[in-house]
Amino acid sequence: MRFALRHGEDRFEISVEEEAGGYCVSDGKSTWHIRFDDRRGAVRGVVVDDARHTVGVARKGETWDVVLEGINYEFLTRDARFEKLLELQQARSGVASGRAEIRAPIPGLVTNLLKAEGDEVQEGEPVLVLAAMKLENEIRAPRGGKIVEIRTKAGAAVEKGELLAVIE
Amino acid sequence: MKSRGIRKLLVANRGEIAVRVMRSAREMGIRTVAVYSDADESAPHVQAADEAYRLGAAPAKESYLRGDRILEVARKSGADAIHPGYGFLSENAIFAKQCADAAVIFVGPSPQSIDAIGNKVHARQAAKKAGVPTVPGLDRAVKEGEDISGLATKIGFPVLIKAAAGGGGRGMRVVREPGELSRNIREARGEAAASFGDGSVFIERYVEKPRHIEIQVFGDTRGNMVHLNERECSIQRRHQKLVEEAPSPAVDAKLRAKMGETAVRLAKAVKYHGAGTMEFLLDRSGSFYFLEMNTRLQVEHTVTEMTTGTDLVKAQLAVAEGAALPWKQEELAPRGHAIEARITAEDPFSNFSPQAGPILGLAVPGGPHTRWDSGIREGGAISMFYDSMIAKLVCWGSDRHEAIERLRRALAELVIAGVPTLVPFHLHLLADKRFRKGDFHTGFVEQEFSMEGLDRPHLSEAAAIAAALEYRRRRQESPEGNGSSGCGSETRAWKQSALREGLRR
Repeated sequence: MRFALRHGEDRFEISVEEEAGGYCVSDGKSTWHIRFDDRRGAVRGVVVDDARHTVGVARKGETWDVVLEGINYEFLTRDARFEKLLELQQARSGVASGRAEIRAPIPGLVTNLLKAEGDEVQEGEPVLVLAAMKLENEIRAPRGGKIVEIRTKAGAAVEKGELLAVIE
Repeated sequence: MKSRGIRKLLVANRGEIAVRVMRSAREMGIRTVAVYSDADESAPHVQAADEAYRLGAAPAKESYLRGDRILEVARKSGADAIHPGYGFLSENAIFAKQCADAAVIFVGPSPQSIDAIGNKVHARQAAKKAGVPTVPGLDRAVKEGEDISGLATKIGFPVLIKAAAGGGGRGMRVVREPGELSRNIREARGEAAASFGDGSVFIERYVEKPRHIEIQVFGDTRGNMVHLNERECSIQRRHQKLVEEAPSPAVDAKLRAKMGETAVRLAKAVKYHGAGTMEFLLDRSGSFYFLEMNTRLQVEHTVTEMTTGTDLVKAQLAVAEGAALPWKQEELAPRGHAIEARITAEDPFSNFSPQAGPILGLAVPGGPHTRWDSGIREGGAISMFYDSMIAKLVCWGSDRHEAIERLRRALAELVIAGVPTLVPFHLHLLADKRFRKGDFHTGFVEQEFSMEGLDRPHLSEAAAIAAALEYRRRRQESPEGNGSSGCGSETRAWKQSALREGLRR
């Protein structure tokens, strides 16, 4: 299965497959053989090819905080399919000038509305939280503007592609 | 003075220092009382104590700085002494006086000593009276239009022109030659007037690339006074110390004896008792100048303890009880080398900005001569209300090289997830050639050291992989094949046994 990670401006897309004794991980160019300590807890061992590291891994909301040799890396981690849908949806809504729609990229449950009708938002600012695939995903504004319409409410189950909000 | 046994000690502080003080008290059979704010209800310092009392809301002004409430807790709990730690009320003469009035022992110097030497202006006067060198300068503002080239020559070039109302470097100028003096004074005045609404300027000797060297002194109430050698504190940023060590690579036995004798003379002059620290600037020629005295236990007292085999908190408590100093000067020569790294929640890749947040994961180093003094545990948080200290990691070695290598080893064992920390800074510093040679000064970190080139790509790769795998594990979904992944048939020889070895802990 594929994962999309963002670290600052950097984007990684990584695929993970199980293999004997561990995982095979690839970013399309390089391939690594990984053993990952599957215990729970924030401090674990990971072996990347032959190099062993002790890592701290902790979830902070939608991001993951990974510590390696004292350095903290924060990753926004998503299922690659979800990320792709999100991008497509954002690209599509960007075409209609003056008006941007926020649609559910996957079926899920709206757990939290972060903005209300009439609010001004910046591009990339979270508008609502959609729980799907056991994770909470922040749905962000595809562009800046005013939220003229919110078509859903906290607690609502939504279908894929359902219109959630409109920004003008 | 008659000896007065302490049976119950209130520690008027939080975090690592409160825990550290309670540890010594416990070893002495003294019961401990913690005080806490709403932000610290389940903090380690509360759990380390026999009793705990709430002071108030999270801001220090409503809790740890409320001397009245702390004294009320002392009365209620029956504590006969208060240890103030560092910061908060530790150098507050009024609080020390209030303790005395309430017949509670203040573990620290007398209110008179705090006044006589804790105040910078008083301290400079006391130092001059005791014949202790201070940075040469003019003790008054330069007059409008005054020709001070003669005075400046007497002070010695280069000189520093400083705005009287100043701060932040504005109105500050370094002048290296008499000919440049009057122009610079004029300009400094203009700058100072524009910035602070007050154009008066002072002038003093500019100590170039100095080291910050401090001497630990200790006195009892019977007139005995010793010093416990120097600490090297030049690795600092914006006057915040980051790394401290003992002994200093710039101080030999002769200079140590001279600085120690000077510090003891000044401490005796103000009838000091308890633990105190004299801060000096040391220039490249080996001349030193008194800066100020801290009338309390220092954060970095640990390196002194590790090189002298002492417990300074126990000695503080003994002296507060009226006992004689437990050591003689000749027993206090430094042995080996100790180095402390302050582990704070500051991001060295983002201009050392402090970060508040939860400590989500924590693996603490151990092993020989490795000391971890901390006031936070996994699941705790760095609160925005207090400083960003997570812990002090201190290592001792038979020499400086071993101490540095041991600290690097210990830092490699340390894992803190949740907030960025100074750990990468420390690892980078300890590998730095100039640091390892002992060739640095107080401006080293800010002017001559850089964090660049530390973020190695293989690390971010490994971190990304760890994030993806952990995400996957939590999703608890079975993996799906993906033809384009690059994995599969070309799988390399899998060194399973070696890797299993690698994971064994």
